[in-house]
Amino acid sequence: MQRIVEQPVMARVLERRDEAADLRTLWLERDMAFQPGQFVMVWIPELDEKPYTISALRPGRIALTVRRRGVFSSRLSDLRPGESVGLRGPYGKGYAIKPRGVLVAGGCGLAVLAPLKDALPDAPLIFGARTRGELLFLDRFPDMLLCTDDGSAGQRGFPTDLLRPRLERGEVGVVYTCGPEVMMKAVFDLCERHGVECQAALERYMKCGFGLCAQCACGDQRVCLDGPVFDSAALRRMEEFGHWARLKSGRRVTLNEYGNWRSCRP
Amino acid sequence: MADLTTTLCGIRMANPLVLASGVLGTTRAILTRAARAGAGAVTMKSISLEPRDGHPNPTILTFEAGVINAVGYSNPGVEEALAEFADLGDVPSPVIASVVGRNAEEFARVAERMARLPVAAIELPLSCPHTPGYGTLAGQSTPEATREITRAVRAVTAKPIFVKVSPNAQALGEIAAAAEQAGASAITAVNSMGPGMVINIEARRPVLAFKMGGVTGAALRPVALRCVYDIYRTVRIPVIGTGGVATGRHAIEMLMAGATAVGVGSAVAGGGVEVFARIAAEMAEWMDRNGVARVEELIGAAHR
Ligand SMILES: Cc1cc2nc3c(=O)[nH]c(=O)nc-3n(C[C@H](O)[C@H](O)[C@H](O)COP(=O)(O)OP(=O)(O)OC[C@H]3O[C@@H](n4cnc5c(N)ncnc54)[C@H](O)[C@@H]3O)c2cc1C
Ligand SMILES: Cc1cc2nc3c(=O)[nH]c(=O)nc-3n(C[C@H](O)[C@H](O)[C@H](O)COP(=O)(O)O)c2cc1C
Ligand code: FES
Repeated sequence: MQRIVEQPVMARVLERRDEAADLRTLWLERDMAFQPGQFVMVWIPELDEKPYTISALRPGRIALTVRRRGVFSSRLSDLRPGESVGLRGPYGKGYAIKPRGVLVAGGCGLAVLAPLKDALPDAPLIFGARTRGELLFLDRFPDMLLCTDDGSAGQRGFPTDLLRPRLERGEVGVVYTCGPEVMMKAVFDLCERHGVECQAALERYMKCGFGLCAQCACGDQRVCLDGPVFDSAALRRMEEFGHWARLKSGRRVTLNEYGNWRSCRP
Repeated sequence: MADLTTTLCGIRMANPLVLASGVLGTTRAILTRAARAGAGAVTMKSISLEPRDGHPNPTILTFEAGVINAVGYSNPGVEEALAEFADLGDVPSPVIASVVGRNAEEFARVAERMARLPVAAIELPLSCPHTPGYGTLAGQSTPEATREITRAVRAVTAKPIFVKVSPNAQALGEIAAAAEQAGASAITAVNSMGPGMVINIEARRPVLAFKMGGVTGAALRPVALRCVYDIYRTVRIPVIGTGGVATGRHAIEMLMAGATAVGVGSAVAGGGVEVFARIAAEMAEWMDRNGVARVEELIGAAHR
């Protein structure tokens, strides 16, 4: 039996960059074999440890893109070059690449899809945010198809509005999505109507990150190990997807209540 | 083909393997999956009177010889647990409810309500080493406290009661005997040992947010075996041997030390949910090769 030692290894902050109003990228000194959709557990000693995706990789360095929400994300965003955080992982199952894929990102879910777009430069990337000031990676992906809820940039409307005509034209083989769960549910439902596979990265409160505690349960799946990326067959069986999530105590609540607790939009 | 079925306190099990409390046991759907994957019985994560968030992260780590955790009994509380586990019809193996409290009265209040669920038994961990107010840190790991708590729970339910003991206890035999006298139906031996600690030398800080945590898995196995061996000699009620079991050989060792059933927890970290089917297959294979037809023939074999 293979035994992996799951403990954080410290990584130094090399550089940081502001992406949008309250969104910042931290470059850390580390090489990592990382598949888009996977995550790492980020440890700030004497504070807490939380899951984040790697939003970009280069030789010798990896990036975290962090939205300032609560105490942890603020402390993380405020780390200065030379300071360190602990990392363990990567964990979980990433996106499975198939022909004719389209990427659909919502809000900071783009951090998760960005390395997939790097790997699939020709795949269309639909990116929605609530308003212009929350858009990110505009220079990195100049070909993004943009939409905003208020019409302040790109098309006015939801990412699903941009996806629908492509599904109708039958040009989509698979949809990779990450963003607020209500958006992913809308994307999944739309894909179902068109008989197109959807792969969605779910977010749940995590403890171990490697499949032992089931704190991250969604249906009978552990989001940390069986996911975080689930395909249509798995999403169909998950009655909690798009409706429910669990707080730290394990209490099941609506996505809205969960989002308020995580101080993020569900 | 060897027969792995066994009976524990009247509970019929397809094999002697029990999913240990605190591993995978958070929801009905996950318990169902563990049972389908081959666990002969499954235990819920421990439930307390009120919801608990537990300790901050990091709470669970592995090291070269096992797992160290300070989860701190995070759980949604008895009210929510009654809803979550109301219908256990899908779970193909018997379900054990794990109940914790800060004192005998609280144990009884939670146990009385959890026992109304279609569960096969109630487990009482008196032995968690890293949750203030509970277990070892609340002095529950003594013969006196064991007697008082077991009695209080016995008064509110006729279901089998498993008293779960600490490998740290000095008076382990006396604790097991006290549990038996007070009406316990079985002893679960053991809970995590320690607490232990892991320090990140670059950060110069303990890694667990609670600084210390219970040690389980490979490092615990020889200690757990000795505890089971001792308890088997002291009491007549069955023992659920738990600690570091990851292979069929380990499970058979536990049976030979005196266990009637065998708990499996930390091995899920290395082997996934599939670990139950694998251990059961390894047990059957060993039994076939060594001319052992039934599990009972192995129980306590090391004592004879
Ligand atoms: C594995 C994983 C790792 C992650 N890692 C990170 C990370 O490293 N850093 C980070 O900051 N975040 C991360 N996230 C993302 C984050 O958890 C979610 O994207 C976040 O909840 C979205 O919040 P937002 O405020 O950015 O979205 P919002 O700004 O609220 O919404 C974005 C878009 O979704 C659309 N939308 C909303 N509701 C609907 C609907 N009903 N129908 C159609 N469209 C809708 C909006 O119109 C908008 O276009 C991660 C997520 C996962 C799954
Ligand atoms: C992450 C984790 C959480 C645990 N939580 C509980 C718990 O809530 N209640 C309990 O009685 N035991 C708990 N335990 C102890 C296990 O049930 C078991 O007694 C112990 O881990 C020894 O078995 P193992 O070596 O097979 O893991 C926990 C163990 C681990 C690793
Ligand atoms: S976080 Fe522990 S199983 Fe997923």
